[in-house]
Amino acid sequence: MLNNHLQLTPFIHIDDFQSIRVNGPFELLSLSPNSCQLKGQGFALTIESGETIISTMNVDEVTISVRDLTKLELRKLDMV
Amino acid sequence: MASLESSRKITCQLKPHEQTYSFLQALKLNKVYIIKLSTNKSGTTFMIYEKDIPKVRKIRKKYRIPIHFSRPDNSSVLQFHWSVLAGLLGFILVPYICSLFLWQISIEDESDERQVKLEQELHKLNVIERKSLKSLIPDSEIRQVILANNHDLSWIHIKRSGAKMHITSVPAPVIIRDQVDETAPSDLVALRKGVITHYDLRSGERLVPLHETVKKGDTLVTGILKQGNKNLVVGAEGQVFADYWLEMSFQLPTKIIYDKFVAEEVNILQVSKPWKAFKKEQSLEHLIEMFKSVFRVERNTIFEKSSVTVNEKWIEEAFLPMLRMRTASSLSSNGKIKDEKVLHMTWSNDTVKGKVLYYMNDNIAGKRPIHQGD
Repeated sequence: MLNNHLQLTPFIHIDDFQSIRVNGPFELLSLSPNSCQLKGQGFALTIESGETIISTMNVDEVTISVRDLTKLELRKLDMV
Repeated sequence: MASLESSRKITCQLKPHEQTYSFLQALKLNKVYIIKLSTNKSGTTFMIYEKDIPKVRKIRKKYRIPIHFSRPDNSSVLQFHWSVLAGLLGFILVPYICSLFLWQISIEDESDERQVKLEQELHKLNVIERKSLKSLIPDSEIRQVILANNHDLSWIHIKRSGAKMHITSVPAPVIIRDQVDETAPSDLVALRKGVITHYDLRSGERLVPLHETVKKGDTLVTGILKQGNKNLVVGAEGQVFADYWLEMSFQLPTKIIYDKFVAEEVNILQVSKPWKAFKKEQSLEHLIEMFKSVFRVERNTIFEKSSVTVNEKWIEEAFLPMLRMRTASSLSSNGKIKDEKVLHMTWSNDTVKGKVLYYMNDNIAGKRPIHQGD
């Protein structure tokens, strides 16, 4: 399982591209059946897929389950 | 149960609203655990734990967002929680484990002493309560051992139903042997007139040959045996059968009236009579009587008078067999009616008189003590 685990930044963990975990203080910018946008620690995370559902969300962690991932974008907010 | 209640999930539905994300953010900051959050055109849907409802309500008021709560598992009676599953498993496992043991042994016997004895014997055989059913010895062996130890029992019924064992003992029939009165040896004498047909003797010597007519009081069998010059008193025992005639006479009314059972009537709710009495005079007694009558059940047996006109056919088909039965009941077990003859029947206006002669064969011998002198 360790091989599949991808830690992109200190706050994003991708287990198997169907479940994306985000740690730390964040803000939900938008959620629609096909996309999800989060903001936190100076980054903005955009996920686009066939179906996007936030499977759990609490104060320090959000787990997003996706089906048919089409786009995973992490941008530093300064660059916007 | 409190943890189970609080861990139930509640579905929340929000209609599209500007404040949706800030509302969700506020829920998150208030440590409300959000599960399966999704949005579509009709709005946002997510689940929360029941314990968080007060927090959600409070925040909802602040943001003025209409929210609809529903329980997704409302219809299911059983919640798939570990404690529920453990309980269910317990309901199956506990009776199953209990059914593997013998819980009750009951012994049914006429005498209390033997019941205690049987209990002790079962104890020796290791058939005791709270013992595994598998480790018990088979029923046939229990029966064999108990019967071997108790000769006064003819059988042991062992009935097992579930974890109960019921043992019923069947006592051996008591054999009554004829008490031979040896103290008073006697002869057998004829109690009535008849023709000797056969002897059935245990002791004694015949004095009358077969097919000979005897009178009442004749000695039939002697209890004294002659041995040379010596007289040996043994006493006569047994039966002497003879044919004889017995006359029976009868007198009947020509019309017999008797009660015939027709039906049984059950009367309930017999309130009309007490009600009338109550209407006439409104007293407490009548009121109580009326209430009582509601619950009273009356049973009446209905008889019908039936009559039979006696005729010759009825005498022949119904009366004579009855008379024959009655006569036969006075005979000994080996006695029999050989023939019957209607001597005469006289019909008058209201009575019929008749005489029947029975040709019978029965024991006619009775005992007469031998006078031995002093």
